[in-house]
Amino acid sequence: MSETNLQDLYQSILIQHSKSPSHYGKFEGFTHFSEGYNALCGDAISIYLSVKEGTIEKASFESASCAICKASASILLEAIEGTSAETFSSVQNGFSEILEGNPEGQSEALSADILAFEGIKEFTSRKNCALLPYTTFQKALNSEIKD
Amino acid sequence: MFNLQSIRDDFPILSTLMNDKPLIYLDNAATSQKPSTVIEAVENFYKTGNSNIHRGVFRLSEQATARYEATRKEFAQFISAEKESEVVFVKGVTEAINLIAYGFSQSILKEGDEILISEMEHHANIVPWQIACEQTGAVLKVIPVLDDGSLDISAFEALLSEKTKLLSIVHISNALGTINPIKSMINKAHALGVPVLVDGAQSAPHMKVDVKDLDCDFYVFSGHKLFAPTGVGVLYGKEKWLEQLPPYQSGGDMIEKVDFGGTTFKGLPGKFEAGTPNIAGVIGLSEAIQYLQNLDREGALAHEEALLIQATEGLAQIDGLRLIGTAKDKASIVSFVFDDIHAHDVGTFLDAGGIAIRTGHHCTMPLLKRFNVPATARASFAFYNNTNDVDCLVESLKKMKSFFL
Repeated sequence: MSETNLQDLYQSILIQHSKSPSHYGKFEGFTHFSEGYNALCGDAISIYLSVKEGTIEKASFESASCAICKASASILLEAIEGTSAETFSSVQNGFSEILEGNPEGQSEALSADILAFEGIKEFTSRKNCALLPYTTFQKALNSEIKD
Repeated sequence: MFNLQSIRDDFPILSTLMNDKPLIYLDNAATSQKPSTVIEAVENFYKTGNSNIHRGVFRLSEQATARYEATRKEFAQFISAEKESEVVFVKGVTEAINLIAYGFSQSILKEGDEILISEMEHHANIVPWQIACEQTGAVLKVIPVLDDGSLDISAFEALLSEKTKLLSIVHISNALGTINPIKSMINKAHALGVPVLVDGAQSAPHMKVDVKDLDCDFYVFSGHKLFAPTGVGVLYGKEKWLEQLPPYQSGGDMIEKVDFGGTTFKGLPGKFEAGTPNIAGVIGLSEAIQYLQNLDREGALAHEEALLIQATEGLAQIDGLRLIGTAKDKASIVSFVFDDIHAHDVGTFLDAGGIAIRTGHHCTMPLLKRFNVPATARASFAFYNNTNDVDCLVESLKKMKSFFL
């Protein structure tokens, strides 16, 4: 790991997302919700979804977390809003491959912003930061639909 | 005489590279580095002295047993304990507190009794008491922490009562560096007949511990923070208290006689040391305390205090950085947060320059909640750190701001 790797990890697109995340802040009328915690560091994230007839119509998050986690959530929600649980599953699978250093074949399925996480493969302890929004999103999808 | 260069030469890891840069190790509150004498003692034990203890009639086993038991005596002297039987070898502070909490839940605690801890405790001095209280109906009371990171002593005095069955308190906070006034707290507790357990994980590496002078009832140590190997530590307990507590684990080596009609246990300290212990670790611990006894400890403490002042002043120059923990009495630990850069990102950035610090909640989640921060970055200094280490930390943090903002 060197300063070059550091630039690879914190690509400018991730820094931008972390500084001004999109889909940030709770909204009224969400149907699904979950909180996720990283026990290692105490990071916390909340994900709010509005799901109607299988479509994730609206998605947002709030977090007390690092730049990697915040950027990951921002980029994920940009990619998922307006799609379905199936799309989330395929993005999640592709993202896992990227974190393991296997980006081949992912570029068509995933946005350029998600591909920017490739540099994280050198930073074992930071993978959980990037994954926390995904595991929390999955829990939110599984949560009870509110009245 | 405190000779920093020769001390640094004693710790081989300090001359290694990390990420192509000289390693600057500032995570001493998590674990300390080991001097060559400790490393070699462990290696030599396995090369020429390895045997189980308290069992064999052959010379090798007798020698290993003698070395193990000699360490108990050395450690008792190191902390000024009256009897070596008051020194119990454990894995570390976590196991020591679990042992005491289990013993209290079995033999002492009843419904309505109280255990008093503080808001700045490590999880290892919170969770075992939560479990003990759940099992017995006792109540956990918590001394609050003031804004500067010191204990609210008037609240402590108000919380202490005849209902209190134990005060369990950290000597030096791992997350803030606060040095608690434990001697006066022990006096106040004893005035009401309340025994005191002191978590000494962070204090023993910095200062001489004298359990007789403190008059504490229990004092617990982690070897790996005291320049010894991981997986070894010490529970010191006054004989009268250790005798009241039942065995924490049972099995081989802790018994006097086993029969299906009933088993009798060994006396102190054997009844608390079931199974084959960490013999090599204890031998490493022996070398570590010998190293500390040969060190000018007053000189080392003065050097650490100078590093703390240098770091505190250096960090104060950085815009947007806020220190968490500014108590008057502090050990060489600085915990800080930035307005807009998360501690994790700070840790990763510094690591690229070979600087190792801890980031996160430091196993003190209630304390961080009290300060309303999810995580802090923490640099903790040992006597082998130098002013260059502090300069590099401060300069890197200045550079970091332009990287992230």
